[in-house]
Amino acid sequence: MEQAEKKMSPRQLFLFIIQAQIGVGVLSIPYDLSKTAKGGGGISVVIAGAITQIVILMMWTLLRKFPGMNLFQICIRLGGPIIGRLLIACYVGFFILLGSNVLLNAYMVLQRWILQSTPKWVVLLLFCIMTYYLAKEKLTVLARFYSLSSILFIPLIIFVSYGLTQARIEYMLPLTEAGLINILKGTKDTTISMYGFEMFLIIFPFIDASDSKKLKMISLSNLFVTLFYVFVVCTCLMVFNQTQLPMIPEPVIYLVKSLNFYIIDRADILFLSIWSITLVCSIASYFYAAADGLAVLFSKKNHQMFDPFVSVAFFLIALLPTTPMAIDRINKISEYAAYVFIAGVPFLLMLFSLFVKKKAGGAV
Amino acid sequence: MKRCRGALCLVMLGLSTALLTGCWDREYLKDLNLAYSAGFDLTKDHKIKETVELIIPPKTEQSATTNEIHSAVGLSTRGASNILRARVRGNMRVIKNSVQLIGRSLAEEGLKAPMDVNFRDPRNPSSDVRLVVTENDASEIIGMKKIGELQIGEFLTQKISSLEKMSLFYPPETVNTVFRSLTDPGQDFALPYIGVQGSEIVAKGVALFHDQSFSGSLGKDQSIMLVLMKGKSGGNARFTKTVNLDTTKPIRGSISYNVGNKKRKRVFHVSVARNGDVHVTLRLKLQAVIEEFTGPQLLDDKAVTRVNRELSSIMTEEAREVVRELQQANCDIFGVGRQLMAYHPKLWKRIDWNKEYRNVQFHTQVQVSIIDTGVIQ
Repeated sequence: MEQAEKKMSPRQLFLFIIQAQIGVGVLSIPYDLSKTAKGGGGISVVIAGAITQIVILMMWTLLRKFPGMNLFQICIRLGGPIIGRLLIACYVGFFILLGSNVLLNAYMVLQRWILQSTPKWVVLLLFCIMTYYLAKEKLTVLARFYSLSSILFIPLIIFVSYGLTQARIEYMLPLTEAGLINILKGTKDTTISMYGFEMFLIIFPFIDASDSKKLKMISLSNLFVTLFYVFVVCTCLMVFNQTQLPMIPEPVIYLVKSLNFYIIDRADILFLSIWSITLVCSIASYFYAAADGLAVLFSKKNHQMFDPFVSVAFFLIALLPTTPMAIDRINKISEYAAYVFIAGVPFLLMLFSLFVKKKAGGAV
Repeated sequence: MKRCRGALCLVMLGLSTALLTGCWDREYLKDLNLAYSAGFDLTKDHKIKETVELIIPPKTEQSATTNEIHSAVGLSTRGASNILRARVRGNMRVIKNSVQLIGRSLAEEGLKAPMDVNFRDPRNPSSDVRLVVTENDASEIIGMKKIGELQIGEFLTQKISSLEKMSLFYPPETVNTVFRSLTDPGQDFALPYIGVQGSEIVAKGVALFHDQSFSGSLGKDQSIMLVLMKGKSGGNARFTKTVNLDTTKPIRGSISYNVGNKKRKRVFHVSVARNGDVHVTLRLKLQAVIEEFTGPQLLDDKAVTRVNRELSSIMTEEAREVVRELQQANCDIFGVGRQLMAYHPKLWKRIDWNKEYRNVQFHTQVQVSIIDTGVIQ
């Protein structure tokens, strides 16, 4: 990256992380939670948010030790040219996997609800073109687009809030029906929807703010996302009963569909059209991260020449699985990969950095 | 390099214009046969008979639309629709569907199976589709084709919405709300109940459901009472009763009053006694507007107090009768079971609600107070 490039403002960081975090997962959290946490789904989400916050703190302690560097450069600095490059390659693979997983799930939702006869490759191609177009730009362009599209959260929140007119608090009670252990298990299902905050590792040096301000902004966006999820989960839990929820894989869309707006029927079509833009933002973030990783891997100044490859990789990985089982397997693999690459590796790097710093300090 | 990028841009532009138009998921209105209303019956050999009213667009712009009635028998709802599709020209679609009739025989059998397609297929509208139970076969009503000047589907939609305004059934039960109640063990529902009398379609009241099947019905006044007991009102709730204002003389007058358009107060409380008995307190405070009084007296303060007392006792008795009918039909329309699940989960796990609901002790009380006697006393 060129030094002269304009940096992101803290406000843009806030919206960037929100856009990267809120993806396809939120549509089905209430369903995932209905299997484990039942009425206590809201509590599970809050716990997941707290865990995310701890991981964010950990990332922050790692990143602030190396001013002006992002994850990839830190990998090289700490691991040396070979191990570092290996790590970067793994990270690139991880981001491609996660991105195409979001892409695949986005397609599945659209296919089920609106585009029933449109071939899979068309939808995927359209998404790939959109994300390619966005992610090939500089980070500031992404940030500006994300900020602009954040306005779209307002109609989405209004749609979901309208569901409160059908809500019955009794459906959610008793909160601890499933027991504490199941509520904790539910946390695991929610973490998938929290992914996206790891973009922090990539964009950290490109933000025009002090380290503590950066932490504050990203914590705020985590708080916003957690509260948004709690709101969505609680609304769904109050609208659908516990027999219905396990039948409906995307309760949020079902909720919007079941609302009567008098003038329009099938509000879910509007909802999903708006939602697609948020999905593009999520996918574009992973796209950018993967391309940026490739650029560092091959010591290139910018990532534009790698973009087509990433795009093709996204397209192919999302195109391959066709049976629900294969899709499930991809989801599982990305979930476990995320534990390793979002929490595990940064944690090891952080421990390592403490060690190295001391040594380096001793040498100077 | 620059030329290459230009070419790429052109290709992208071409691709997006070609692909963004959404060529696959489209349906032209001119190719469709819109089913405005549909009815489902159970045949003797346990198959489903579907009767639909199709709207045929006018040939010229000035003339009105006409309708056709078709029916088919299939193993399931969608199965019957598929057979129907083979009979009518073009593609039959229910996207403009606003009312579905269910014959009593099918309602007694259970709604879960025949309604499944409504919940499963996202293209079926569900937020504003009314479900109605018919006394005899649903095909009989749809087969009437036209009521006066109106086509049957239009007539039914208008009829139901006007009955909703009269609080005969309110809040509206749509496919969605029924889905919710069908899956809820602690909540039952009631659907509008209509029948044919001569050449007219008349509202009979409501059909009560237990779990998923028809289990009883309420009359018209009772239906309005039920709506009030749910704490709702569609706008108007009118009753006509006979009251006796002077015990010394046998003069009786009939009084018509409306309790639907003023504020109502409702107390609904579920409590569990120490021995496990479930008690439900249901208290209603209604404010009545007198619309007609045929008695000889003036409705002065003294008379009003008396009328209040009389009406309160009549309405309380009526409400208790409604509760008896509900328990008879095992229809937990107030969601007492849901309250138990939420606030007394231990008790809920212990009891068999299907049996226990009949033993719930309701304490029903209705209080009517007249707040307006119109422009004369």
